[in-house]
Amino acid sequence: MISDITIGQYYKGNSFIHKLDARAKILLTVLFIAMIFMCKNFLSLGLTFVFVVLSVLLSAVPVKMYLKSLKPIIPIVIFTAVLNMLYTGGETVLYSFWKITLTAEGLTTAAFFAARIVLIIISSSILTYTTVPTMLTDAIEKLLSPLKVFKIPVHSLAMMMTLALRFIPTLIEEIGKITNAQKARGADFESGKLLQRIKAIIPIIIPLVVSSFRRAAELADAMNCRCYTGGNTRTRMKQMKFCFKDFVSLLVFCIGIAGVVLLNIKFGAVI
Amino acid sequence: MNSTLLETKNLTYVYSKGTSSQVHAIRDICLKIEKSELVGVIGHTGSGKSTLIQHLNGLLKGTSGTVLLDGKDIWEKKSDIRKVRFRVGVCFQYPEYQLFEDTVYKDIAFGPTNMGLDRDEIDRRIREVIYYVGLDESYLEKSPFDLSGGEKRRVAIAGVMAMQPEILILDEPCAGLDPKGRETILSMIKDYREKTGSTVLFVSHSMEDISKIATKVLVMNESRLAYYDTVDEVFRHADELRNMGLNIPRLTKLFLMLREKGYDVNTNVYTLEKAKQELLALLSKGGTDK
Amino acid sequence: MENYIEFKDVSFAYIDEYDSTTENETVIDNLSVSITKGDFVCVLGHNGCGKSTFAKLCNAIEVPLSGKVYVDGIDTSDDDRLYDIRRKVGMVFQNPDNQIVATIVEDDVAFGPENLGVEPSEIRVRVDEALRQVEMYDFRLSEPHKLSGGQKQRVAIAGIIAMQPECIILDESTSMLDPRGRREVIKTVKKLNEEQGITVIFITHYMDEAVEADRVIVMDDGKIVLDGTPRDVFVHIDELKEIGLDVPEATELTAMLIKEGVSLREDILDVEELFDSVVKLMEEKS
Repeated sequence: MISDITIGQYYKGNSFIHKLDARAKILLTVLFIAMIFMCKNFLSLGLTFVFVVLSVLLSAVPVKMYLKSLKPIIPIVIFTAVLNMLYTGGETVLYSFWKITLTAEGLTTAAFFAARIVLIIISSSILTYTTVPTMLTDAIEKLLSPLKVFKIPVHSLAMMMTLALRFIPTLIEEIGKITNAQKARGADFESGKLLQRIKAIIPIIIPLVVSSFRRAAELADAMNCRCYTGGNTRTRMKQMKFCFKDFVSLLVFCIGIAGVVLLNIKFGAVI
Repeated sequence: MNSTLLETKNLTYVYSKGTSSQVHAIRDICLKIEKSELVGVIGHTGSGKSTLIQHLNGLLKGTSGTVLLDGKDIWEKKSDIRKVRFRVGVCFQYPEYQLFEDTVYKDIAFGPTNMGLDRDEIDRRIREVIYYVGLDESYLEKSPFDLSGGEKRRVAIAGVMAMQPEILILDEPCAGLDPKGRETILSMIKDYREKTGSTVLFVSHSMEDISKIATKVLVMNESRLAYYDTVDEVFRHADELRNMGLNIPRLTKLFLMLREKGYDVNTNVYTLEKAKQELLALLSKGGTDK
Repeated sequence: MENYIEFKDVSFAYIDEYDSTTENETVIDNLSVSITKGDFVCVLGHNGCGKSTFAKLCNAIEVPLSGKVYVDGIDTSDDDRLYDIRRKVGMVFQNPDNQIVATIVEDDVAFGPENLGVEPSEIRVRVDEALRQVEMYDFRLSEPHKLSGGQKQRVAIAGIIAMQPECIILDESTSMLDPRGRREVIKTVKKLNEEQGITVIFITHYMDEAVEADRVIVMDDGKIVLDGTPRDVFVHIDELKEIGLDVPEATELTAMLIKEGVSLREDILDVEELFDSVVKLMEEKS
């Protein structure tokens, strides 16, 4: 269900990872994703897996929460895995039936793809679970600030992200309310052909858009009242400090990537 | 005695069942609502009243227990649940935010069209309900988005009335309106019930509003049904209501205080006129008796 | 006493930018009034009487078409002083959802001071203090969408307090709340008014919220029709009903009894006062 989406959710805590600088965490996540894509054999994948497990443990966020973030993408994982399994050619036929041929290569590719998607979701969940969204957008703003040279409105973009994160739960709740209200008037969202189903959501979309505009106007007034003038003279309550542990973490991840590369070279690629 | 129209038997609903965070939203509700009653529903935010309402028209299905409409389980045939929603019409809080058509006419027509009624019947119903909500046919071609807040709300309520439900349920129909707007909605509810003879449930936080127009009061507290009885009977439990953090009508409170002080007064007083009579009687008696 | 906000012959209308042919409907009509520093002022009126526009004129969200509004001596039409005025006069709106900007309570409270360029360590102090004052400190790390309506409004109030304003305007901030939430909000602003001396302008259409104010201003059609203490204002039962407002039942009942020849004082505001008076009458008679 739509309410299961956990993107941008923060999990209160005081762990090592919670305390890392948000900018460091974003960079770490980027390194993580790089690492995941660089894996070419099961050993390097195993090393990456160890990194993920350790990070999850260090985050002190219950494993249940990570499983929850994986839940909505399970169908995608299965779908891509099955596609890979059936359409990757290969010599080592394991099983053949009618037009379906299962090869060892297919299985390997499928396993790799599934593992990659799962690991990427988990590593980005570590970031969002352990970082207050405002810090996250502040960090993005800081990391992208060199782009200001090219007249890119970095602050406004970061502000828009903050507001989007803030209003996602509100809008999800609102969609639920409007859906119930229209169902109470006999709206049918469950049956009919594709075209009918698309038509059926108009009574939800229009009120949602109307109310979003109303919210935006009110929010603009409220922000004006609180002296918001854009980014120039703003200060921040929560200061970002890049300290020793941030450097160490980045270093450890660089070593990890080096490890992945070494293992790839030493034991060859299977994908 | 009227015949029972809507009944719940041991209705219970549990959120996130089976996990550590499981919460009972409603617990073991047994309720019989008779035909043509005008029921005021009170209870705190989070007392379970909204969850209960969503069970009555099949938007939610109880974890256990049943809802019977005219003696038949509404979930007997799952595919018929939409038909139940036409018979039990629910209008949620701030219904003006669900308007979506470009004219009032089309918006009110949404429900009846979903019922599969023919055009003439829909047209007849629209022209009927627009008067029920205190507006007239000149509104039908207007855009609902150009109306005032109170008018929008009335159009939204008309949209539910047009389905001619046997039971009309209104969740806080007066929320956020000014005194005049509240007054309009209250007298509209009263008139509608008198004209059509339908059963009406309405949720309100105002004990005054409820005591003025309701025939029965339903009190929800901590996911259980606390009371379902006549107005007099429910407001007699002033102390219990106060313990639930609910009020009683202010005028009733005055007479309860006088009774506690030892004066012989009736306490089932909800209108100014009745209050005046009672006080005048008390004062004249007080002069002669002692 | 010192005048804090002053309206001098103010008129205002919303101008339709796309249609210059239509008459602009006057929302505020030649209004002159002043608000005393430290007062708890309640502005009553039905929807569309101009009370929200009145609020917006107080902190330069709107500026008068004619006449002047002064806040602590500053002309609100002076663009250079815009943010001085908004820092001094904070505003809490009707819908609690549409004024919270951050995903964590304390970050939202920090938003105002951050905009003002306050030092980070100072912001921290102000945010904690503000959250304690509205009794939301324990929720400082919560997500706003998980709070009740009353709690959200208290967070919004904390966000204003953290800017250290001299005046807070609540523009129908209780109208979407349940009775419990309304009580929480009223209690909070009463406390701020009494303990910190913050001027409060409380805009509402619930007459029972006006009973405790120092001063009640009743508006209709962009004009002030009644102005005085709650006792002075609520005895005007017929005028109030005429413009679609409620009167406390006790006041109305008292008036009905007086008409029948019962000797009561007419400015009774609640059932407790009426109870005391009736008991006194009964004891006199025996």
